[in-house]
Amino acid sequence: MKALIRKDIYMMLTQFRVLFLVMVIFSAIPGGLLMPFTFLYAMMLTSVSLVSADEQSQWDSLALMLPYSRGQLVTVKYIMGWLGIIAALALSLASQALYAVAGISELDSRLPALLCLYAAIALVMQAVMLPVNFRFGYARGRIVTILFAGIIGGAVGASMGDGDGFYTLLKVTSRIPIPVYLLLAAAICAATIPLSTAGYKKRVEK
Amino acid sequence: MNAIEVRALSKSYPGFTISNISFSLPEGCIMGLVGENGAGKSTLIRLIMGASRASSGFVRVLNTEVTDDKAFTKVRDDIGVVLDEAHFPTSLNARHLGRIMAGTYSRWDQAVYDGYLKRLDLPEKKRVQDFSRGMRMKLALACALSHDAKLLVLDEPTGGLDPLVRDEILDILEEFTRREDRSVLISSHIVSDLEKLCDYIAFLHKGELLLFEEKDRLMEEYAMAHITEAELADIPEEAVKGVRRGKYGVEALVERQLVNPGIPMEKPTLEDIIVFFAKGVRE
Repeated sequence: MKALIRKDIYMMLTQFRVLFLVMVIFSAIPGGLLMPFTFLYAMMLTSVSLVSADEQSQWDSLALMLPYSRGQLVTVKYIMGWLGIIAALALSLASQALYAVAGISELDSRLPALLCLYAAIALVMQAVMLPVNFRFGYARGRIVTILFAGIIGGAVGASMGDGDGFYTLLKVTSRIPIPVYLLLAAAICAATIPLSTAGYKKRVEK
Repeated sequence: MNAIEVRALSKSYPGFTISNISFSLPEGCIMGLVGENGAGKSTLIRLIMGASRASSGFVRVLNTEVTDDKAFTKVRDDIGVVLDEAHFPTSLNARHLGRIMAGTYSRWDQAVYDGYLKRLDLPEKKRVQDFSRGMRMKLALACALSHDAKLLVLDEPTGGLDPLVRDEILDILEEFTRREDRSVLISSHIVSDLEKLCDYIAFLHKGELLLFEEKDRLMEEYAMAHITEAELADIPEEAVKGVRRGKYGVEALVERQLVNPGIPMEKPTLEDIIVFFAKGVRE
C-alpha cells in the first residue's frame, strides 16, 4: 500500500503540479468564497483524476499483475482523496487565519464548523464518484462526475445568491456535533470501498 | 515442478474465444508463445497472471491457483512482468519507479536495479514520456529483473524494436535463466527471437493452441521436403502438415518419421514450422 501511495504522491508532484497549485490558490482567496470548490476540487484532483491518469497510462493493466490486491488498488485512491481533503482543510484554515493576523479580514468563529461541513460534503461526493469511476472507468464515469460537480456548483451558486446558503445548512447541522457528522461522512465514504472494489474487479477482470 | 500449468483453459469474449488450452512449463525452462496479432497471446498472459478470469479450466502458477486472490497476490512477488507498452505512468522517471518498486517487491535489490539502469544506458531523471519505445522496454525489464523473480512473464517485449535493442534484451533474458530455478514465458510474433532463446514453443492460432512442444524435438520431428507433386502424392496424408505450391515444385512440412527416407528433406526453421502449421495448404 505504501508503494501505491508513494506512486500517487509522485504523480501529484509531477503530472498534477499545476492543478495542485490551483487548489492552493483557491483555498487562499480572502473571504473564503471559493472554499466549497476547494474541497471538491481537492478530492477530485487527488482521487478521481488519479484513477483517470492510471487508466490513460495503462498503469492499471500492469498493476493487476504486480503484488497488489484489488482492494489495495482501490483503497489507495480513497486515501489520496482523504489526504486531499485534509490538505484543503489545513490550507483554508491557515490562509484565513493568516488574513486575520494580517488584518485583511476577520476570522469568522463559524469557520472551523463550516470547513468541516465542506469536508463532509466532499467525503460524500467521493463516496458517489469513486464507485462509479471504478465500475465504469473514467471515460464513462466522468459523466457522473460532471453531473455531480454541476449539482454542487449549482448549490454553491445558490448559496452565493442569497449569501447564506451554507450557513443555513450549518445551522441545521450544528445540532449535530462536528466530529459526529464528519465521522458519519467518513464512514459512508469508507463503506463504499468494498463496492468500488467489486465494481473494479468486474470491469478489469472481464 | 511446473512453473506454469494450464488445463482446459477457455475464455470467451464477443467475437473471440480462447478454447481448451492446456500446457505445462517446467521450472527452469523458457517457453515461447508464438502467434499472429490477435491470436490471443495477450489474453492468455492476462489469464495466466490472474488479471482476467477464465470462463472454464484452471491456471496454476508457481504451485498456486491464480483464482486464489490472496495467495496469488503473494505469488506475484516472485514474478517479473513486462507488458508490450511498459505501462508506467509517463510523468515519472526511473528513480521514482525504483522507489515505487522497492515498496512493491519484498526482495527488491536497488543495487541490481541501478546496475541495470547503467548497463542499459537509461537516464535516472528523464521522464518516461520522453523515453523511446526501446528505452521503455528496457526500463520495464530492469524493474522486472531487480527483485530476484522466479518467473518472468513477457508480452511482446521485442516487438517494434531495432535489432540491436532486441539482441540486448535477449542477452539479458539468457543471463536471467542461467540459474536453474528460473523460468520464462515470453510471447512474440518474431519467431527468430524465440528460436534463439526457448526450450518450449507454444503456437497459438485464432485462440487455439495448435502446437506445444520442446523446441529441439520439434526441429527433429519435422522436416521440409522440396519435392514434386508426384512425390507428394506418395507421402502419407497424415505426415503432411502443410504444403506450399510454387512454380518450381512443392514445399511441404512433413513429419520426418512417417516419410520415406529416400525423399530429400531439410531441417526446418521454427518459422517454417509455424507458418506451415498456420496456413496448412497454400498454393
